[in-house]
Amino acid sequence: MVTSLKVRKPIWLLAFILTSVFTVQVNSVERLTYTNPLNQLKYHDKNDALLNQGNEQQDPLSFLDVYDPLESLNRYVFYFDRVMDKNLLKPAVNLYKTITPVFVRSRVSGFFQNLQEIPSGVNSLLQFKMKQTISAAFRLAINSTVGVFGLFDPASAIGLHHRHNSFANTLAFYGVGSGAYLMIPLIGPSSVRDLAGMVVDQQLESQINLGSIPEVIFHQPEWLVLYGINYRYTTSISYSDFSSPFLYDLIRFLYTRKRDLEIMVVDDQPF
Amino acid sequence: MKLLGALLLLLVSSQAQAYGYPVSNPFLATIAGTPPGCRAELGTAKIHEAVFGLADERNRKAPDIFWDVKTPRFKFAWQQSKAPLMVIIAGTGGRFDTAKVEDLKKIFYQTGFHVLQLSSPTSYDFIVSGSESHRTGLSTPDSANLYKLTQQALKRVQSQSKLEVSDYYLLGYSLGALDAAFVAKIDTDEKKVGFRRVLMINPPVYLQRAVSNLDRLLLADVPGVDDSTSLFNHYFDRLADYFRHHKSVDLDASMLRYVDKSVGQLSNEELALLIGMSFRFSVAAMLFTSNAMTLNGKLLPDGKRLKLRDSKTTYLQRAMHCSFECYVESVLLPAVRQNDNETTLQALYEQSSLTTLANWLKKTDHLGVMHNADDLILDQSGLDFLYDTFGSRARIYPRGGHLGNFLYKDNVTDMLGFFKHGHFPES
Repeated sequence: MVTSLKVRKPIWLLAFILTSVFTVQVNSVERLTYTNPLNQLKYHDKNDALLNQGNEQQDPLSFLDVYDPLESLNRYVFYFDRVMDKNLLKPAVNLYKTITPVFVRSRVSGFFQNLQEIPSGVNSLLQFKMKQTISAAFRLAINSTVGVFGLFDPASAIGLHHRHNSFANTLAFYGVGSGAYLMIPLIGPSSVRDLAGMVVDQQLESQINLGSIPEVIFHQPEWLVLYGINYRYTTSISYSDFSSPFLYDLIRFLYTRKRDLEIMVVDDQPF
Repeated sequence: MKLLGALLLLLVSSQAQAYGYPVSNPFLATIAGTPPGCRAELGTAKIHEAVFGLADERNRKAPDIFWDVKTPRFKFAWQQSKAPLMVIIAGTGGRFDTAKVEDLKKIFYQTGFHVLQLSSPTSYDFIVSGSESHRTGLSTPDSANLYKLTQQALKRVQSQSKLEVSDYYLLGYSLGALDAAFVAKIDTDEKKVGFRRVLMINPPVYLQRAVSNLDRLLLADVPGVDDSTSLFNHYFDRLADYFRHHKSVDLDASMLRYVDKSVGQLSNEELALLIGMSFRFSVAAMLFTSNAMTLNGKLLPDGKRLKLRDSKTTYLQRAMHCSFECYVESVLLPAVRQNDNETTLQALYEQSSLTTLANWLKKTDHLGVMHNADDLILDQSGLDFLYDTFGSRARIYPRGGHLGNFLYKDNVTDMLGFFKHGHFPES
């Protein structure tokens, strides 16, 4: 009995393995069946379709509506901006990238970002966000000294990261709505509130005039050009990234919603 | 025992070769694509490339709102020495540099190909400057336009510098794959380019099935999302990035990091809505562009020539209510009926389906297809058609949704193998 078991066991095993191998082989040439993923979904009744205008009072696509009383003018500026971006700004940035190494460009963007700590800090204070106010003040102090006018960013290394804040956000914090949508020559999408905020922030930098740097930047054309090139360089988005006949609507929608989100995020941050 | 060992080894090895694409949900696969760790390597070497325009072909009559796309354009990447040349056709609504085409370009460029990238005939730029009727979506006229554009593009590139080409190859994905089959057919008849091998990735088989499936996704029932406003509130940040990266509204893998964050919470219905909505955006752009070019149609008053300052928002809103079937019925069918009053909608769809080329596809062994058994644009008879028609020239994967797996390493190996040897590598 013992011997026969010894002999028979491998035979059974062999038979089992042969069957398995055979099945695997067969499966590999067998046709796959269509899994019909659409049958796995639950559906509305056809009349309730998402885009059907079942409700006559409200267009289901009303989310696309943005308050834009200057639309005709804005669309011209939008055209101007696209042409300028294609023929002036992007070539300038490409030239900038060709003639300077990444190291230099990072120093330049660090330098300009350091100046932004002033409006960021002041506006965080106006919004009673003490943690961010203190963080911005320390960043400014550390990066302007140890970081050599912001060329380097040792503050981030010790955990103080840049948090952009602006007067436009402060206005929103006190309940000011965005107002009319605006396309600004060379700068791009904005709103009455955001444009006003930008002007105030720039005034703030000039008034405080840290080490006379803002004065130099905003009054000497070569500095202003570098400021502009860096601004475009640090903006990753480009009109030509999109291909759509509805580009104006898309950009307007995305800008408006992006600002809503930013304001929401700023409001969410702890004091 | 030796035999047993050998058999075990065989068993283990056949198990190991099971298809390893990790995303089993076809809706998620369609949106998220291939997880970065499973992708084929996309080289980082410098690519010599440029966007070219065909100035002689400029459409001067187009309304000014189309100023940016009046000149037909394409993108070309060249090798420094003699090399094979790959022509890639984008999928529905996609421009020549949409993310999927760029990924495919990297794969072939690093393998040593020159790469010519063409827009889909259904893209905004092609409707304006690549099609004389400005009504695209029918395979026969679209492929004739693509074939012409391919020749013009090659001529344009060669006028600038000496280009040495060993062989010509053609690749298309999604609707671009269907176009590729029709282009290949013309090429067989006219022999003006001479494609050595042609590969289709996830083509629609029955066009009507494909578009009605995609249209149907918008009927998916998500609790709390009863209109598109709440849908957009739901998905906004993902969509924002999506539009930016895609250059067209075409599904893509670069949404991954956004989707990743909350993907656990997304239901199949939510994913389906996202896919359906982006497809609808493509169709809206097609409808509007076509109507505004032909100065008639359901969106605009007849003869209305739009100016730069005119608002297009209401047209976008109205166009979003028109499904692909509605586009076919309102734009394509009337145009075809001008020549042949008898044409039915059914016949129109059939003429633009892969099945119409069945006999030719069966005997044409330089043409292959890759597809997925869980692709949203297929059905059982479409899958059967691929098996019956292509035999061993069809490679069907069990998972991947619509184009979710084309960057998966096994898929890329198969793709390259097909172009190199004329058949898929043994699995």
